[in-house]
Amino acid sequence: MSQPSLSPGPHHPHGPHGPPTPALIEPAPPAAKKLKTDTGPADPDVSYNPRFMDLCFDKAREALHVGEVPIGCVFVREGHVVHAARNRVNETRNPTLHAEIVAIQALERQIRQGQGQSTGRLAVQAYFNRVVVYVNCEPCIMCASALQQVGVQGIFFGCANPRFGGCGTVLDVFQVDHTRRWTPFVQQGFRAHDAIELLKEFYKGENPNAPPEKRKPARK
Amino acid sequence: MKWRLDPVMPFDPSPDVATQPALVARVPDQKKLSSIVKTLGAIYPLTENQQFLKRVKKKIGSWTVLVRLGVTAQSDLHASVQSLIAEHGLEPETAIVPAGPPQTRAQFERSTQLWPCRFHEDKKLEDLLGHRDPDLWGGPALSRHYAHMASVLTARTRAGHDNVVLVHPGGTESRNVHLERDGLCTGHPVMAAITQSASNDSPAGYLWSDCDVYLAEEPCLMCSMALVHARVRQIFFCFPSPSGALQTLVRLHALQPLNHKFGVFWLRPEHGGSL
Repeated sequence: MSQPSLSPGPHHPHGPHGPPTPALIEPAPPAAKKLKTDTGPADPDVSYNPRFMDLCFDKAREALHVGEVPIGCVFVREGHVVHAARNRVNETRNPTLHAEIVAIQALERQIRQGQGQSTGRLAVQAYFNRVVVYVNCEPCIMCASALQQVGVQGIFFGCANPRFGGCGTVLDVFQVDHTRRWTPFVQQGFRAHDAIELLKEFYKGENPNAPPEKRKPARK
Repeated sequence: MKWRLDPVMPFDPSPDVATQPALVARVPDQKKLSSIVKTLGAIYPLTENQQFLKRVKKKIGSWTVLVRLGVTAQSDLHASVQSLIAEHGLEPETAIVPAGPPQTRAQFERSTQLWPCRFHEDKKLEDLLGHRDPDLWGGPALSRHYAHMASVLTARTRAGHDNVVLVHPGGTESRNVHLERDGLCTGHPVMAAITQSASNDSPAGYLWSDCDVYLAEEPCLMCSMALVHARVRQIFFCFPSPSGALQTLVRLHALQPLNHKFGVFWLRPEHGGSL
């Protein structure tokens, strides 16, 4: 099986991959859905750019090296990277600090500092409305809801997340939470195989947060 | 003030039973019952999620077998079932049977009025539904729950502040969270409280394992999932919210793939009470 063809058709620089592991990902057609913004998918700022996904993998590898679940994300606004972040859960012992939350909080702080303390919710949302998020693994339910609440324009992600996925795998947050009146577009399947391999590499090791009784027996 | 504490079950606990049509047949001769059941089991087996239905309904001096689920005309039946009907003088008719397995004793009792069902009572679950768990509804426990919730609600009167009470095995922490003005992520009490609770010297293990949290409002999807990640044991909230994810939009704790489940409780002033 070759790399799924991606509309609007950016060439994938990493060549064809083997079939994705069935247990971890269902190959879904990466079709844009429900675009509710003034910019259509033809906008060059919004179409998928493999360079940004590569950057996610750089951040994810960085996370892996320090014993974090290898997930990295890149926030792109008008074609420029405005923030790149990785998972910081184990380092800070804060279970909410997934890569996407780290990036949202950093940008929120930056917007407020740049525009003064009076910056309201609407100004922050106006900023995020032109932000497109790249992440190597499907955002979890917490992150998907956070991305919806700040109002990002869209999400490009790699592999599905069968345990926590909030963009349709465990729950479709954007469908369920109609109170936000905001639906980012979602496209998936980019470098999904690489993302799965990276996660497998992490889970071969031990989760340092697991309580002693749940730890895997030591491997040699 | 009178308070009320109800569990938010991960399923609809109403005793009302959803139903489906089925073709059943009265069996005049009891001696033929076992061979009829055997044939039906081979031709129209019940799938795994239909096996809560028993094959035979016994009433004094009368036996009825479940032939097949759904509406089926007698002429559309499998040839060997048709000959079974002819041979033993069965009297087929359409009946209404439960659509799904009963979860609670109340649902079981309603279901069996329609058709006999298999049911294994879950004692813990029945204790929750019947308000019998002493750690929740026992006198001293109830007073503690009320006191924690009252302290959460009092702190909310100051603008920009909220309170999250965290009860952990070692004691109680009342976390007065200062909400960032208009903060989109950090402006939610749960996210703020988790962040304030976490530090590099937090003990090993998940942040809020074995902890109970008391919240004024039903948490949103983001915050409810954050509570899954923090591995909280029980959540008590007072006000349902339009964007709430434990009872209003969805029951997050009912999602099967999640690797952690918590108990959810709605703790509120009794009707007519005021805050």
